Order: sequence, then C-alpha cells, then structure tokens
Amino acid sequence: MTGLCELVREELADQAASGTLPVGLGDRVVGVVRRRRHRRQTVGAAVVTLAAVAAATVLTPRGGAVPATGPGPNAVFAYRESDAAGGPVPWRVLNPVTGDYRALDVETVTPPTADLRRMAVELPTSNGRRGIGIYDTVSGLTTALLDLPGPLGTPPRISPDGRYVVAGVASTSPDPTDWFRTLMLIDLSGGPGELIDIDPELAAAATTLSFRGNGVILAVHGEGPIWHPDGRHLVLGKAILDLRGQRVATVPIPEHMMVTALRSDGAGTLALGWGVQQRGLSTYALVDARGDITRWLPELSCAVGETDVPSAVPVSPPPTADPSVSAGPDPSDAADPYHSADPPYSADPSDPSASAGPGSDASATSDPDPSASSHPDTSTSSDPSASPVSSGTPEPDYSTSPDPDGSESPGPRLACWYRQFLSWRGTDAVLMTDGERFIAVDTRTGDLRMVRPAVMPPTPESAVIVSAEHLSDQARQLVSF
Amino acid sequence: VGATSDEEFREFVNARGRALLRVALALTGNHHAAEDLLQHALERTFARWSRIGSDPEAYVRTAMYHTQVSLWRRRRRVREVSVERTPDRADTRDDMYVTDQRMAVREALGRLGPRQRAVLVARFLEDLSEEQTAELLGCTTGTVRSQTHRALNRLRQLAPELRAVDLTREGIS
Repeated sequence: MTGLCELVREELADQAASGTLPVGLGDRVVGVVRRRRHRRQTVGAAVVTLAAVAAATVLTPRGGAVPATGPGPNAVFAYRESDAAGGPVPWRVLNPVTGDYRALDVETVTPPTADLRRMAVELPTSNGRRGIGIYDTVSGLTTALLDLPGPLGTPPRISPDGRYVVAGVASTSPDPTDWFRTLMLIDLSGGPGELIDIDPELAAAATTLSFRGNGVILAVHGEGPIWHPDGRHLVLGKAILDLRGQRVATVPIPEHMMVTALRSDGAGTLALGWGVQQRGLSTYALVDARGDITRWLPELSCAVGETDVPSAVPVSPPPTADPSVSAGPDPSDAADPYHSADPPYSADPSDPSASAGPGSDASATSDPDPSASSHPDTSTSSDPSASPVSSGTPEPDYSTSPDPDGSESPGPRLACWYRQFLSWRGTDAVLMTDGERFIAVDTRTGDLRMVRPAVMPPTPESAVIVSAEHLSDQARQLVSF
Repeated sequence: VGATSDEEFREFVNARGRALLRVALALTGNHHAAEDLLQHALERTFARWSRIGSDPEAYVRTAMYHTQVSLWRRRRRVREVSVERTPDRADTRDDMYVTDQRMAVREALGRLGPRQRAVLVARFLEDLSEEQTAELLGCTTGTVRSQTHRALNRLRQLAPELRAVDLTREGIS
C-alpha cells in the first residue's frame, strides 16, 4: 500500500467522522415518502390532462420556431444511460448508417475505427474470466476474439484502420498503482494474440490518447494504451511506442503538462497543466508543434449560460495531413509553462476575463443561480441564433451564493468542479463538458458556447464523441451537432 | 407500509444512521450533500421496505453509491473554491508539510469525479476488496482496479506535491 493510499484513507476517515446524524431523520423520510405517495394518487388525473395539452401544443405548428440547423462536425457515438433506477447501465451505440442508437451491454465503450463500423469490446465469459470481442456497429453483432485468463487492465481498443486490437493485461500485484506491465496485441488479419512487455514507468504514467473527432488524438489521463492514427504505433503518456513496445518518439509539450489532444495536422497540442500559479489547479493550454504554449483556454465557469445553439462554433475542414510528432529527445525541458508570452485567457488586455483566473483577486458579484443567469450577447458571430458566452462577457463567476455546505465563499473565484475535454471540433475548436453540458471553446478567440446534441447523454463526460464525417447522410442529419 | 413498518424503519435509521452518514460524508465531502444523499437513499429504501430482505443497510449503502455516481446528483450545483497555489513548498520533514499534504489531498479529493471518489471510499475507507467493490458498484474487478489507478493518478495530477508522497511518507510518519 502506498503512502498516497494511506493519506487518502486518513482524509476520508476524517471527513466521514465529521458529521452528526440529523435529528428525526427517520421521521422525515417516512413523512416524505408518505406525502409523495399521496400526491401521486391525487394528481394522477391531472397529469393525464396536462400530458394531453402538452402533446397538442407540441404538435401544433407555431411561428418563431427554432431555426433549422444543418449537420455539424461531431456526433455522439456512444453514451451511457442514466442509472437512476439503480440497475445495470447499458450503453447506447450509434448505427452510423441509420442514425439509431442500439443498446449494448458491455462494461466500457471505446473509440471505434475511423469509419465508425467496428469497435473493440470487453466481454464477460465463464467463471469470471474476460474476453475481447469486436462489435459491428451496423449489424449489431459481436464476435468473440479471445478468452483471457484474468481481468483486463485497460479497455481493448481497435486501431483506426481496424487491423489491430490492443489492451492492457491487468497486473496481479496488490499495489493499486501497479496497473499493467503487459499489452495484449491481436492482429485481426490472422494469428494468435501477442503479449508485449512495456516499461513499467511508461505504464504508470499512462495517458490515454484516443481518436475521436477529425482524426485527432485525444487523451483521458490515467487510462491505458491507445493507437496512433497510423495504426502502427501506440501512445502512452507522452511516449510513442512501436508495436514491439519500444519508445520511438515523444509528443512535444512542456514539462509538468500532460497531452490531452494532439492535432492531426501537426499544428499543435492541447495539453493540461496543473498547479499552475494564477491559473488554477488544472488548466488547458494550446501548445504549438515546437512545444511552446500559445494560448491558455478560458476556465469554464459555472456561470456559462444555457444556450441551445447547435454547431455554434465555426469549424475548419477536417485535417488530412499525417499526425506529426517529434522524434528524438523530449523538448519539454526547454519550455517553461509558467512564463508563456501569451496573456491569460485572452489576447485582448482589456478583456475582463483576462485577469480573472481562479486565483485572481477580483471583487465578488452576486449570482445566486448560475444555471439561470443571463449574459449579454456581445458576440460578433454571424449566426443570429447564437447567444454565445464569450470571453468578453462577464464570464467569470464570483458568486457569493452559499456553498453546498452552507458557508459563504470568501471571495476567490468559484469554478465548475468538473471539466473534461471531449473532442476537437474541426481544427479550431474543442468540445468540453462540465459534467452536465457540452461547451464548445473556440481556440482562436477563447469564446465559449453551449452546444446540444440531438441525443443528450445523461453523463456527457462518459460519452464517446466522433467526427460526423463518416456517417451516412441520413445519420448525419439525425445525430450530428 | 403500515405503522409497524414505520417503527421498524425508524429504529433502523436510529441504529445504523450514523454509520451510513459516515459513508455519505466520505462519498460527498460535505455535510449538506451527505445528508441529501443519505435521505434520498433512505427514501428509496423505505419505499421498498416491505420487499427488502434482512439487510436494509446493504441496500441503503448500495443506493448511496449508485446515486452518487448517477446523473441527478451531478445536476446539483456542486461548486468548489479554486485557490491560488503557493509557489513555495514546505520542507518534507516539517509538520507543516504533513498538514499541507492533508489539505492537498482534501482539495484534490473534492475535485475527483464521483465514480472515482466512490471507488476510493469503497476500497480505502470501507476496506472492501476489489471483488466486493465491484459487486457494490455493479462493475468488474478490472474496472475497480483501473478506476482506482486512475483516481490515484488524478490526485497526483491535481496536487503535484502528492507525487512525492510515496517517497517521503515513511520518513514523516
């Protein structure tokens, strides 16, 4: 057991011991349940009536309807249904031809092949063993490939061209930080699975790079090996490995940053920095092909307005060039992520958000309900339907509303508790989520805009987002955003 | 659900509520959210009281874990205060260093996703095995292992000072 595990155990135990049971909790629960039952019985008829009225309203054409929107560059390839009922949580996986979503009862869903036709899945087998299979997204059929002697250490991932499947084989060590040391590589053109030993340090620092969006590499920290777009290399952390497990290249990003998404045109990388003074604990930055930071992305504030604007961010055509990585020594040592020449968040010094980092000392304003807050539209976008929340709007949220524990915030900026990169959106924008919403960030201007897929995943952070490029016309019309 | 069931349920809450609140506090990290979580799980439990077997505590505990990592909890406005990091780090031999570490762990735990935090609570607070955790969360042992790894990695990302913990912990304890 590591020291970090002990620290976590002590801290959780402290937090667990810090509360007292509310007086009369049992009575309160009994009362709530009984009142709820009573309401259900008495309002049943009213609900039926209201439903009929609502249906009639929806079916009646009205003026001022939501403007029609064309297909966007992204699509939700897979999402997990809500487990509010407490039962199993099936995935819904897109059929790229019909645009329908089909239920798939697997543990994890991973990015598909570039043509969206196949995906590697982990299958339960007899006696608690696990297997690897291939799911055909059009037919809905799953074909078992391999029966494994034990659990997988990482989800299986199919290469973009569909030639190989790779997965980490779980370590048998009791140390939870000793995750995997061996990869299982399966050549789908024939032959048995091959075990590849890798450097344990690389596995420990593993950062998943996947291939969602327009052929770009994305990353989810702390996951396993993923495929380079060429289908002949694997990526672990900053390291590029060949199929023998040997390190052959390094993604150029500054020290203390982690690769989040590598643009396939080689023009740069989206990286995550942490512990960056004046910029919060973890902040995304754009890094150019030389490994220098060119822009910090704005913090996602809880005050980002709800703006249902499909495809609000203009996008560039998908890149076609080969992904570029630097071969040779890691250039990160030469760059200093703390002293970028780029001003914080915005190139405009007058931009109020430019000095509004999480650690900034700005004065507080009242915003009791971020979800209901409205922001003036200061965008110069040509899209009349867009109501963007740009870096020029009062994006930072210095709310003085009570925290969940009832205490007043003393002044520092309140940030959303959860942010995650999801996908590139063309070459100049990225999709992120705060755990509830999809937020498009224009990497050229820092503007934030809400976007809403036709199918809204209950848990955006677990959705798999892909480029809509390879969808059929029918599917693109139905699901792209 | 009759009067007898009401009384049984109240007795159950009085007897086991404290232990259940302990889990809720660890899962959420703050009092109000923990009370909300526990009450919600108890409501679900009481609504099915007559159909729940001999171990209602296990039902409540499972309901809390599942609820915590499911959608509707996330729809609450959960916020945290982002604080500026001090550039200087305490000497690893100081008591202050230990305090800093604990504060860093607390802050980083607050920023973990609910699923990863739930795995840490099950494994490190409740001392459940990987198999028991998998059963509790409705996933595989492989997922528990990988989620644990990811959660610890995430903690190290959120609090870089924790990356040195494994090397120094023995010397300060």
